[in-house]
Amino acid sequence: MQPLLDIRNLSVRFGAAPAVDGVSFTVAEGETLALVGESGCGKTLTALSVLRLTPPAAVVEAESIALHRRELTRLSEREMRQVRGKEVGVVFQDPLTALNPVWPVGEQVAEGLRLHEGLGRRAAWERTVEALREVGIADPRRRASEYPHQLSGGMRQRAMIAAALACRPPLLIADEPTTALDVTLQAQIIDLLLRLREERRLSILLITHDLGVVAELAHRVAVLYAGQVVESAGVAALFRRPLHPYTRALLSAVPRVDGQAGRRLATIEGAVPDPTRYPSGCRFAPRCPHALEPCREPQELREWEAGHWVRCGRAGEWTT
Amino acid sequence: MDRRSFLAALAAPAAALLPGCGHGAQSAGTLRLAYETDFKSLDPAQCFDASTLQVMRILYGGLLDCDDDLKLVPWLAAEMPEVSADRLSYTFTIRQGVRFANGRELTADDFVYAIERIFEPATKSVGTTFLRNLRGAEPFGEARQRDAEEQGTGRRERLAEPRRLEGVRALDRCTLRIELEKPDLAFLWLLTLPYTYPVPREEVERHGEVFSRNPCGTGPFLLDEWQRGQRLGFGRNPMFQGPARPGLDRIEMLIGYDLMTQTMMFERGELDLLNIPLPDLVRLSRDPRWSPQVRSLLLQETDFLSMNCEMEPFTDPRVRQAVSYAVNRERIVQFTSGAGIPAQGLVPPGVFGHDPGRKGYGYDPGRAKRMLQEAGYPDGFAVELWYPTDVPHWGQICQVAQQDLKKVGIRANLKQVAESIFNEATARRRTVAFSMYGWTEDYPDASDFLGTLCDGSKIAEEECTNASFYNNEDVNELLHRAAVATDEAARADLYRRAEDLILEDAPVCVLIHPKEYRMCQPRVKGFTLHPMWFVRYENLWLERA
Amino acid sequence: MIVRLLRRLLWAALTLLGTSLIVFLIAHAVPADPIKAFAGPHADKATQEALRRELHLDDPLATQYLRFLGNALRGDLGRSNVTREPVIEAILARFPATLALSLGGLLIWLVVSIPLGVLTAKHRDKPIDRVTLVLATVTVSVPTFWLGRMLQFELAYRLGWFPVAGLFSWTSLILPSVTLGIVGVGYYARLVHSNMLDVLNQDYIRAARARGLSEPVVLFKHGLRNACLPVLTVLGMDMAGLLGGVVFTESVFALPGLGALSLQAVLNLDVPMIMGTVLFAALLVVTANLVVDCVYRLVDPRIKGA
Repeated sequence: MQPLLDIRNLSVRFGAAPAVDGVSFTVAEGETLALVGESGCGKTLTALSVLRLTPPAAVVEAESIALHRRELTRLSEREMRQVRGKEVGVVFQDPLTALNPVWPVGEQVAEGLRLHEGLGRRAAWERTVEALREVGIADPRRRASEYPHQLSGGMRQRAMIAAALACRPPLLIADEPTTALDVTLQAQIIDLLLRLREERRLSILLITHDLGVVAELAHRVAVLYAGQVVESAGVAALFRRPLHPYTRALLSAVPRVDGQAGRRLATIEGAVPDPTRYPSGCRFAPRCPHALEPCREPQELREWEAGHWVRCGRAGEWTT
Repeated sequence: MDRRSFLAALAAPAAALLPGCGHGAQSAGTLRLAYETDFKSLDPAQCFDASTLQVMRILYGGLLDCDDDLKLVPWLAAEMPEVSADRLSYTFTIRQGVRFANGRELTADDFVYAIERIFEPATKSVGTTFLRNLRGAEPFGEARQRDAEEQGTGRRERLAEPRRLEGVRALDRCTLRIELEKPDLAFLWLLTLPYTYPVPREEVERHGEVFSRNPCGTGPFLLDEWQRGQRLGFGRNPMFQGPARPGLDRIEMLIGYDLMTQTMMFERGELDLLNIPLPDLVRLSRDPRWSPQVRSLLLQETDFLSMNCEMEPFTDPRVRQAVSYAVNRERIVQFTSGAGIPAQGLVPPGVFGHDPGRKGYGYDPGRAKRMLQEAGYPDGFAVELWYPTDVPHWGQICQVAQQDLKKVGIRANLKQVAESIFNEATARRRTVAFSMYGWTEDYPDASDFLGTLCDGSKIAEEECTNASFYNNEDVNELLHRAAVATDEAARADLYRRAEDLILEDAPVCVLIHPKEYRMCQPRVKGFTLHPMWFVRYENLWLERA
Repeated sequence: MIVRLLRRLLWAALTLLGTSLIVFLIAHAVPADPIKAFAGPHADKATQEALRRELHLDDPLATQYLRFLGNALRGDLGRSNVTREPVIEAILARFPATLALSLGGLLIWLVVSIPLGVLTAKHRDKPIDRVTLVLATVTVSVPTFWLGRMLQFELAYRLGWFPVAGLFSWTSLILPSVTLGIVGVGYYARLVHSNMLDVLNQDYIRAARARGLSEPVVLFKHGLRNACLPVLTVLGMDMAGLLGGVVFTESVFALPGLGALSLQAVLNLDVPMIMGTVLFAALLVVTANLVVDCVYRLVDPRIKGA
């Protein structure tokens, strides 16, 4: 089956510094792919590149960015605008800042409907109310006329999801959709996304650094470090047998409910390298406890077992 | 009249609007001109500056007028008056058939009313100074003041005596007799001034305080529009009786336009008349388009540096004379674009009492330095030279004088002072030592110059017109004798001798007699400048395109 | 809400009172005598005394001030010492010209600054931004008087495209409005620019683009709507300042507005008129303050409910 979204060799540079360096992945229909990594690893930029929403200073190059086999890189800006909102919806991290404070929430949903589906004001408003109801907002007609600051945090996030999905795009890009929320709300939003995915056969490109969310929502995971994909696998396989030292370190850094209280959290020493000064070999080597001489060579992404790719020459040397 | 109040009103009359230029619709027969500031009052009793005077003359009329040659001619009087041998009594016959704008016929009583009301404090007239010499003026004035005070206290008693002014009486409907306390050969000139223009009593009483905004006179025009601070409109007075009908249908005066703007408007055809500002004089008089329309007039005015004889270092006449030798008057004329002639004396040419053969101080800086040395100032001295803000080019004149004075060691610091403050300070005793001053005639007689400026007996602590605070007993005596002299030749001689003494004492350093330049649009005809009235609107007409 | 309004009104009243007191004291501190200005140099003592009595200039200062205040509260601002016309009438008669001029200036500000501010924010650091920055600095520094004169000289006098001066038709308002406009445009364009820069960095702009909205819609519907809010406050105060009388522009173009009236009043030492025009201007500023406050509450939904 052809993937819905197919990204090949995507690079995003700021001047000479490659923030995203040769990243490739696919998202199938109905599939949820999580892009995981620390802040600054380039995951948000990768997602924004799909829709050409990167900052003006960013130079985006890609062999291919294809949606439904349609090559997005060759589209004009006008054609691109027709993709945004209609073929791809985006949910941003902080719903308070991602919703315009001076327009009612409903308007921010309806404008997309009027634009992409050519609906008149009244029809668009009706659909808006429906959309808000579908995302679980109570009393949607009243809420549609309210302003973002009048809604609670959870309702705002739901509203943003409604706005992103109003025109029923097949792909949703969700950039840290739960990061700004507390645990209870997180759970609600995750449930919502699961439900919508189920109802509409929605594909989701999920950007997050929260492995818990990954576990609940994603089918497959791609781990990014220093602008490269360092490991990519099915979610179960990744959690069961993480291969890349970075992935392993990330997983062990997650505090566990059953962990002993009083024990220090494991951290990864060092910091993400500056994009202008990547090491010539393995970019994780300076922080890797297992780094050896061969790690000075640039590492390739290799399929270690079916569907499980890793960028590390010593991957097979650990078993748990 | 002093230069500044005179100038304050002299923003240029400007002319009509070219038809079809779209900048305000005007009919072809309307003359349009502009002023910087609005008129304060159109009540003849309250008129004291030159531009209001020009307007008074087209709204009202007086017993006598003065022609282009500065000769007195009858106006509302049927003929020149009968004068008694002792020069104390003048009998006028009033012209028949003259009507006020409200239709009523003019009688001798109207003159009596007009003159008597000058002395009423409620009229707020400045004419009392001029009419002091009328017989019984002093007691009459005092009585009216007492009346005014008692009105203020609410006590309504009989009017104080004397109730009538003895010196002005209507012998019958058309005969007016005026009597003076002392003879004054210049008296008839006063009758050309607006203080004696007749006003209809019923209109004054009807309007009360706002009579100043609702003039009603015998002149060829009447005021039909006055938007304060914006414009005045004059139409023809249908009641006007000749001799000649005015050529203009309407006159429109716009208010609030500074001189630079007026010049631009004039050149664009938006105004009909312009008082040419000095900076534009050379350019405009050389421009072939405009030079045929330029008219010039040597003003009967003297600009001078006034030195306070009661303040150091000007207490010493040698210092004052040194100043007079130090200043190069030719250069000053040059710096004002030739708009003037060097002054030889205080009384300007054309004014009775002027001595055409007089030779004043020449330019002699060497002598000036020697005199300063004699007086005990071998290194000169420093002094502040005050000048007011309202005359634009006086700053330049002062600078030229400053340079001349510097050459002989007198370091003059120029100090420009706001007009109102300047007036007050220079009129106060022992306040200002050195200032630039100017005096324009109220009427062309030496008494208006020498008598006002140099009479030591008139020195007062405040509001003194003798700005040099000059006091010479001999001069005082000559001036007093001249004021009441009955023989013209003798009078001229007395003034000449007085001026000789004054110039010798040099309380003032005379500079120039300035010239004024005006011009009109080509379509304005009959435009000439009169020495006292400048523009006479009744003589103008517009050539229809 | 009512309490807040009342409190604001009280402050406004106190401001006006303070202003009137200060102006009164200053006007009386000037050493020149208004009587002389009115009556002329020849006026004798009796005439001056009569005038002084009539204008109540011989009363002690405090009495004069209190009398003024009492009358003012009844809507009577006295009569001009010079023209004897009621001050309030003079002010109201001259207000339309100033109003027309101010609106003209405002129109130019808005029409030019807003697109310019939006454009330069969108194309930051590109030539249009740099040029606008230089122009803005220049226009803000240019003296109104000089600019008005230059425009008058070049466009009205030399080229004859406009009337030189006076208020005869709407064409008379073009050059004065342009003068006012130019002086303010630079400032407002940069204000809109910097506000827009802030706004364009916000997430909701990115979100709007992500919905496929066209750039103009993003800039104006989403961006400008936010960027304009702070501009509103400044605009309100500026308008109030304009409405109180634009002295230089009105003088150069001889427009019969409040500015010219105030100028004449000062030159004539016409104390009632000076008081009247200053108080009127103060009233406008205070009112503008209140209005802007209310409008801001209406326009910014975040404050409405709070």
